[in-house]
Amino acid sequence: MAFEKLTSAQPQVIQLLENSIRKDRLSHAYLFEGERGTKKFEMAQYLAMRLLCTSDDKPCGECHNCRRIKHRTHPNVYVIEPIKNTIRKQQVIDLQMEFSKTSVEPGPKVYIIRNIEKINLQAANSLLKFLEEPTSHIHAILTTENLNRLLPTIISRSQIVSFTSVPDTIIKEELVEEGYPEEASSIVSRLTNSTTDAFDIASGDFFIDVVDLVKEIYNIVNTQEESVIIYFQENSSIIYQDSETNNLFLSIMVLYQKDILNYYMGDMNHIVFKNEMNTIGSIAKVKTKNRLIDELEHMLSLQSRMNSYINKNLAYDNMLLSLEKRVSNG
Amino acid sequence: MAYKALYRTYRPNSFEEIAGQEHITRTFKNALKNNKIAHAYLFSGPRGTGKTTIAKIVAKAVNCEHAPVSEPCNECDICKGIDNNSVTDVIEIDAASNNGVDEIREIRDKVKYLPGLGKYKVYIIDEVHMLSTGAFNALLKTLEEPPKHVIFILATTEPHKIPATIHSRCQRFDFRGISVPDIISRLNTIIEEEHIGIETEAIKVIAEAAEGGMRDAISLLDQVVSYSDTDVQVDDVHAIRGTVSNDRLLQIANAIYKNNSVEAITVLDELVAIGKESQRLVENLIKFYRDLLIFKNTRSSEESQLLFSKPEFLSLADKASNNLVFFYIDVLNKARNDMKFTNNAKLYMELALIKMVDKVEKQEIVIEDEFSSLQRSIKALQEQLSKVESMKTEVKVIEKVVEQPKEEIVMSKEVISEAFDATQSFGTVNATPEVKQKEVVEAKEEQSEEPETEESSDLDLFSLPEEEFEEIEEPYSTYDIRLVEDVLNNGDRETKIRLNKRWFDIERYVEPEDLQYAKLISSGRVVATNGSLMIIEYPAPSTCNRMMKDEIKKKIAKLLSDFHESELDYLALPTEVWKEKSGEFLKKWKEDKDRYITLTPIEHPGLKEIKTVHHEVEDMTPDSVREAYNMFGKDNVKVRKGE
Ligand SMILES: [Zn+2]
Ligand SMILES: [Zn+2]
Repeated sequence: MAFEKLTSAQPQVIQLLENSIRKDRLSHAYLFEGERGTKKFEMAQYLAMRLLCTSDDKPCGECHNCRRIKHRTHPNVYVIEPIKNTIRKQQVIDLQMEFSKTSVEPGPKVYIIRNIEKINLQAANSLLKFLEEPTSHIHAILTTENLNRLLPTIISRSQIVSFTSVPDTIIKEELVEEGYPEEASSIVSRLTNSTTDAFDIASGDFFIDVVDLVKEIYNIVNTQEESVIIYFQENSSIIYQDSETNNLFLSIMVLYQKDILNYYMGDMNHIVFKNEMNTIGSIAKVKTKNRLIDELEHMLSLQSRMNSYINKNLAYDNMLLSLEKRVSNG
Repeated sequence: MAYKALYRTYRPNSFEEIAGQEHITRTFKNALKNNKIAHAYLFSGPRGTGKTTIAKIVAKAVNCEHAPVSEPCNECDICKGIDNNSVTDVIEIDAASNNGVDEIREIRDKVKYLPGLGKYKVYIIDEVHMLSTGAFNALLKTLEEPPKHVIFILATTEPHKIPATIHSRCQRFDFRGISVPDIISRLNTIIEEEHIGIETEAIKVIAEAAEGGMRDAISLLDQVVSYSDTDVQVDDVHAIRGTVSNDRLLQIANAIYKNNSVEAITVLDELVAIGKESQRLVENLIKFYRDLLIFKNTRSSEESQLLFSKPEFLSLADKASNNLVFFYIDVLNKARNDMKFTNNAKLYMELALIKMVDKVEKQEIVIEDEFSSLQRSIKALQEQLSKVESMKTEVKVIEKVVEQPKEEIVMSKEVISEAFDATQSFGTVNATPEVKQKEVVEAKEEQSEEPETEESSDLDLFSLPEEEFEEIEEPYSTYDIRLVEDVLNNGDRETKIRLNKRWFDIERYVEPEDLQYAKLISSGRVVATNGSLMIIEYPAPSTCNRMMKDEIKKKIAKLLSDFHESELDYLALPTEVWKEKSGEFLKKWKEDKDRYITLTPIEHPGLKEIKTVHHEVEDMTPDSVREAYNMFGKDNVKVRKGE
C-alpha cells in the first residue's frame, strides 16, 4: 500500500474523497484546511493521482502518471505556491493559460494552490471567476493552515475538508520507521501533532542531550544523593542556547512529570519513559496526587510564561526545589 | 459532468420556498404586489440565512415580465436571464473582493443609464461592510439621489460596521438564524427529492450543528452524503465535523462520575486515534455538562435535544449534584483556556480528566452538598421556632450580639473548613482559612440541636411596632427580597428557557476585552425571570457580590441585554439563598395560589450591602466576627462570651 500512512493519518478525508468519486459527487473545488504537517499537500497529490492513475488499483503511485504527479512534472497537475509570501494575479493567469494549452494531456486537470490565505485581492478576483464557472474536468484544491484569514467568497465557493492533527501513535510509527529509537520517538510524538515538526525535533542538535538532562534531574530527585539545583547549574548550559531548546526542556520535563502522575494513577500504558520505570515508581511513592498535579501545573505555567521571565535561573530553581519535596517533609 | 453542490441546486426561487424569514418575505410580497419598492435596502444577519437569495428573488420579481407580481414567475426570459447571469441589469458585487473606490465610482457613473431589458437596475452588494471609507462615501453620493430605475440591496453580516449615514438611507431587514425545525423541514425536502438514505437522528444533528445557517446545513448534508459508505449515520456527521458523539461523551462522563480517570483517558485515546481534537472534545464536554445542568434544573422536555432522551444521561442527571457539575465545568474551562496557548492540547485534556476525578475535591463537594442540606433543615427548624416566638425575641438576640465585648470564634468541625475549600475550588473565594483545626471547640451536632437563638435575654430595647420597621425599609437595596418576590410572582417560563438556551453562547459573542464578564455570566444560570428581571444563581456568595457591584452590574446587564436582544436586569443569588427562597415561595404558593406571595428577607452572611434594618444592627458586629461570617458562613460561626 503506497498510501498507508496517508490513510492512517487522515482516514476521514480518504473516505470522503473515495466515496465522492464512487458516488460521482466529487466537488469541483476543495478547500483543505488544517494545521501544519497534517499532510494536506500529500492528500492533494493523492487526489490528482486518483483521477489520473492508469493502473487498476488507483492510485498506484507507480505508473507514469502517478510518478509525474509526485515529481510535479505532469502537465495536467498545476501547483501554485506563494512567492515571497504572496500569491499574485500573474500566477493565476499563468495557470489559466497553461490549462488552455494544447500540450495538456486528455483527462482531468487539477490545480493545487497551497497557502491560499496568502492570495492578494487581484489574484483572488481572477481565481473567483475561475472557481465560479466550474468546467467538468477541472478540479481545484486549495490548502490553508488558517481558515479564518480567507475571503468568505473563496470559502463559500468550495467544499471545506478539515484535516485533523495526526495522532501521536502515527507520528511515533513514522519516526521509528525512519530509524529513531523507540523512546525518542515516543517522546517526540507527545510533543507535536505535526509530522513535519516531529522530524525537526527528533533530528535537532540538542534533543538527546535535553532528554538525558531531564532523566538525570529526576534521577537525582529520586536518590537525593546530591543537590539537584547544583547539578542543574553545572549541567544545564545547553538549554540556554535558544528559546526553542529552552521550551523543549520544559516540554520534556512536563512529560516526565506526567509519567509519574500516570504511574500514581496506575495508568502504566501511557508512560513514555518506559526505561525509567524504577525511578518513576519510587518518586510516585513519596508524593501525593495533588502534589504531583501542582508540580505539573507549575511547569506548564512556567512554560507558557517562559518568554517573559527575566530570570530563568530563578524560575528553574524554584521548580526544582519543589520537585525535591516529599510527602514526609512537606 | 461536474457535480453541482446541493445548496446551489436547492437555492430557493421564490419567497414561498424561503425557510424561516416570514417577517421579511411577507413584507416583500406585499410591497411587490402593490408596487411599493424602496430604492435602498440593507439586509443584515448571520451567514447562510438567505440574504443574497432574497435579494436575487427581489431582483427577479421587480423585473419579471408579469410585474407587478408578489413572486417572480421564474419562467419568462428576464427571470431566466437573471438566473443564469445573462441579464446585465442585475449587478452582483462582492465587497469582500472589491473594496476599492473604483468599483463603486463605476457604479455611480453607470447608474444613470436606463436598464436594458427590465424595469429596474438592481445592485446587490454583498459583505458591504468591507467597503473602504472612500467607497462608502462614493456609495453614499449615489444613495442620496438614486435614479427612479435603480434599487440597491446591501447585504452584511456585520451591520454595526456600516456608517450611520448609509443606515439612514436604507430600509433595514434583520435576518434571523433559522430555527432547527425549519432547517429540518427544508433538509427533508431535499432528502426526498434526491432520494438520500439517512437516519432521522443524523438529520437532527446536522440541523443542530448548522447554528441557524441554512447554507451550512445543506452543505453539511451534501458532504455527509458524499462521505457515508451507505446510508448516512449520525457518526458520519460527527466524523465530518470532528465532533464527538453523545454516546462517547456519556462514556467519559460516566467514567468520571465513577472516579475512573484511566477509563476516561482510554476513551480520549480512542477518540484522538480516530481524529478527534482535544480542543473539540473539551468544547463538546463543556456543552455536555452545561446541558446536564440545564436539564437538571429545568427538566425541559420541550425543545428537547437528542441528548435528553438517553437513559444514561437521565440517570447521570439524577446522580450528579449541581455543585459537582459546576466543578467539572470549572476544571474543563480552565483546560480549554490553557489549550489555546499550547501545542500539546491532549496533555491538558488528560490532566483535566485526572483533576475531575480528584477524590479530595469531590469529597469536599459531596460534604458541602450534605452540609447545605443540613443547613436547610436547620433553617427550617429555626423558621418554625421563630413562628412560635415573637418578633421581640429576635431583636433581643441581635442586640445581645452587639453587646458582647469579647468574642471567641467557635465553629463546627473540619466540615466547615472542607466546605470552605470546596467553594474555593470554584475560584471565587480568595481568603485562606486562618483558624486551624486545634482551635475547633464545638462539634457540629451541638449546632443542629441548638439554634442560635437559644440564649435570649429580657432586654427589650429594640422592640418596635411592625409598621415602623416597614417605614425604614423603604428604598430598594442590593438584595431586596421584593425583587425576588416580583420575579417569582410574575414568572415567565418561556423567557427563562429561551435565555438558558443561549446562555453560554455569550462567551463567543463578546469582544475579547469583555470575555471576563461573559465568563462570569456563564458560570451562573438563570433560575427565574419575569421577562426583564432575572435571578441568576451562583454557587458562591462572593461571585454574587461581584455580580452586584454597581459598575460590574451595569456592564453585565448591558452585555446581556445586547446579546439576548431585550432589556434585561438581574439579581445574583447564591445557590443556598435561591433554594431557600424558591422553596419558601412554593410552599406559600401551594397554600394560597391567588395571593401575591411575600417572602422573608434575604439573610446570608456572605452577601454584602443588605440594607435592611436587621442588617444595620448586625453591622455593629466586630470586624473579626464579620470576617469569620464571610469566610465560613454565618451559620457556621457561633459567638460566645470570653472567659
Ligand atoms: Zn498510478
Ligand atoms: Zn418572470
